[in-house]
Amino acid sequence: MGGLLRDRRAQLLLLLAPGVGYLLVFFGGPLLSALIGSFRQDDGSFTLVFYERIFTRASMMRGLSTSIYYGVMPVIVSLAASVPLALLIRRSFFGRKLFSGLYKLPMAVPGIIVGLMVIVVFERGGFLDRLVAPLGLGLPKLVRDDWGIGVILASVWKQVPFMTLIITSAFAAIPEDIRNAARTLGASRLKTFFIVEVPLAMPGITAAILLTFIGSMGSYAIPDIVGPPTARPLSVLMVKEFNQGRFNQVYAMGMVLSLFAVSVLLLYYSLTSRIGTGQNRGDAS
Amino acid sequence: MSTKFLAAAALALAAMAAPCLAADSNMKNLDFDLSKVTRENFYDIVVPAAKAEGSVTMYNFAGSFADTWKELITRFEAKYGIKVAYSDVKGDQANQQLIAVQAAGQDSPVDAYFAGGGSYPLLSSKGVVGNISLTSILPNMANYDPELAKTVFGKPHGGSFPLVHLNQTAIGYDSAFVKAEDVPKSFEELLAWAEKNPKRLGVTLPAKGGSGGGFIYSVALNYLSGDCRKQLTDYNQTLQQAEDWAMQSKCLDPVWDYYRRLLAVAELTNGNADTLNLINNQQLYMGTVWEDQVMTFLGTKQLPDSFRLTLLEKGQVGSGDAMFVPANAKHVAAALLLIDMAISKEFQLWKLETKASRSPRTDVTNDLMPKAVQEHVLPQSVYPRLSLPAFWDMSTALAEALDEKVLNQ
Repeated sequence: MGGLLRDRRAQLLLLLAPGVGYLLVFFGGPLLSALIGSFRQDDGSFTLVFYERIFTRASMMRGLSTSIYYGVMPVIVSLAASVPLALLIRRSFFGRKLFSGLYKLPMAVPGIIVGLMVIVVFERGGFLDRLVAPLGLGLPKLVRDDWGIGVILASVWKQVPFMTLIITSAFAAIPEDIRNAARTLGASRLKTFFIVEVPLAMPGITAAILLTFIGSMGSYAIPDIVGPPTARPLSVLMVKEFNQGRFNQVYAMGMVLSLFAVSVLLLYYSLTSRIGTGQNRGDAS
Repeated sequence: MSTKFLAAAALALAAMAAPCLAADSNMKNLDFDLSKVTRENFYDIVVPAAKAEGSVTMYNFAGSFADTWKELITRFEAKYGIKVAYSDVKGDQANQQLIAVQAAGQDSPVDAYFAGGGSYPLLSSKGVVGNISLTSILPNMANYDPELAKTVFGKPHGGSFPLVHLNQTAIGYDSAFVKAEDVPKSFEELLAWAEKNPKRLGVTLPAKGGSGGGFIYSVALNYLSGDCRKQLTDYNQTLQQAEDWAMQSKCLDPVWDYYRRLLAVAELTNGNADTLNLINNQQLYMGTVWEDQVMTFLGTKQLPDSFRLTLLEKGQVGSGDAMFVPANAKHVAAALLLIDMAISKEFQLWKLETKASRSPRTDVTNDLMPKAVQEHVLPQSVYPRLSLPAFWDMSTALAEALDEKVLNQ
């Protein structure tokens, strides 16, 4: 026993056991169970019918594309808002401390509350619409609109603080000396930002993109309440199937969504490893 | 020693007697002889047993009924001194919970469950529904509608799944915007009104609200005849069979054509409340609604006083919700007593007046409602004449097919 404990490999396995064990039991186990379930009929026989339904039914295919759309669009809009916001927070201005605390508030608001808030405030004939009506103005259709603009904006409102938090940290990690060096060598502020700072902050930015994408793609409450009834993402369709007791169909849909999320994760790793290689080229060591 | 011996003997006796008590039913935890209970001796046997149980747990699947059941609970606790533990639940999730608990052989977390009327096929097929002929033994069910006493939406339930609340899908409109002479009387007139008033009619997505599910089945009933109608109203079909038929049958082409034309000019909404909210916001003037939900919204000033209801010729579906005792409930006697009070004439009348909740009792009729309330419910000229029984599995199947054939094309 003592000999075994002195063995480096055994020590490594023992040290890894809690973490790996946790992942296997609470992540691997349910995932495997869902994977098996997605290929099984109620009588236990093998079937591909649940996957066939996903790829042959118009509503399911639209659900998949809507999920991707609701994953990608909020990321693009959030990124456009978060990067300037991160740069702003880095600067010193009056009320900065208060602002730094307040902008994080949406993170604490549950998706369902955000959805209901949009319905009350932005619905046609709702609070804002009535407020601007005396001026002869009217709000555009933001709830149940065909392009899901309301869903995208609600997701952005919720995701921007999270994205900003990560991107702010990424920019803050860049030593001031590097910026100064670029400026000394004649680069303009804009050039320094795009050529020096953004590439150095890219691991943080891509992590923020990835996490926001996965969160938006799998969200349920906002698309269910605010989105158009015709184009419902897979997450909403999954709950519908669950409510009808079709668990195997839910498993198959979950597998397809997970597969897509894992593909994006792999793409992320591939992208960040390239960024790393590029950075190392300039290292003095 | 003698106390221990007596306790052991009592336990052994109880263990021997329990299967006998449950012999005629699938009830797992009976602590009184259910087979001896009749309408006449109900209170003599059940009240002491219920008081010995001391408490009862109730689930309510309908959000709009929370205050209704609180009133019932207040009356029940005051009369019998039996504590009621009450929970609002999401129907589909609670159904799945009860199915899982039943499959695991565990005791039910609920004793009296107010569940959607359409959930009977699922719950009974999984053995969740306690096999007690409530309509035969509860004294307050002596005046129960004889047809509903044995069947629920075409499915025989043997009295175990009695509806305690009836509701009706309808067409609701704001009379401030829709003149009396313009109110549609048929499905064709409704379409014509929508075409004349684009985006002023709200149609609830069938997959997301019963008023939409009821409407699509009503449209199908309106357009189908002969063998097609026979298939449409065949309650013996499983959900899967209904779905297969709805996906493939040419019978439903007129329904899809109707929806294509209707949705080109109407607003498809995300649920019953969504439709009513848009009417309240004066964005819609007319929509598919539930009669009792309208009364709730009127009560909370979420709809204008000018709101009125009607039914279309050839009929629109009505439904209802049931209260039953799960097979593995722990407090069966108290649950029976609670359901008995829920169907009492006094409570059903109160429910009708305050909620427009129709009653399955034959002695609780519309004319008992106050005049002011009668204005906001379906007029007697259309109800119950144009009320048709719901078939929720078929509505679900039609909703699925609508998704594929109309909404995603």
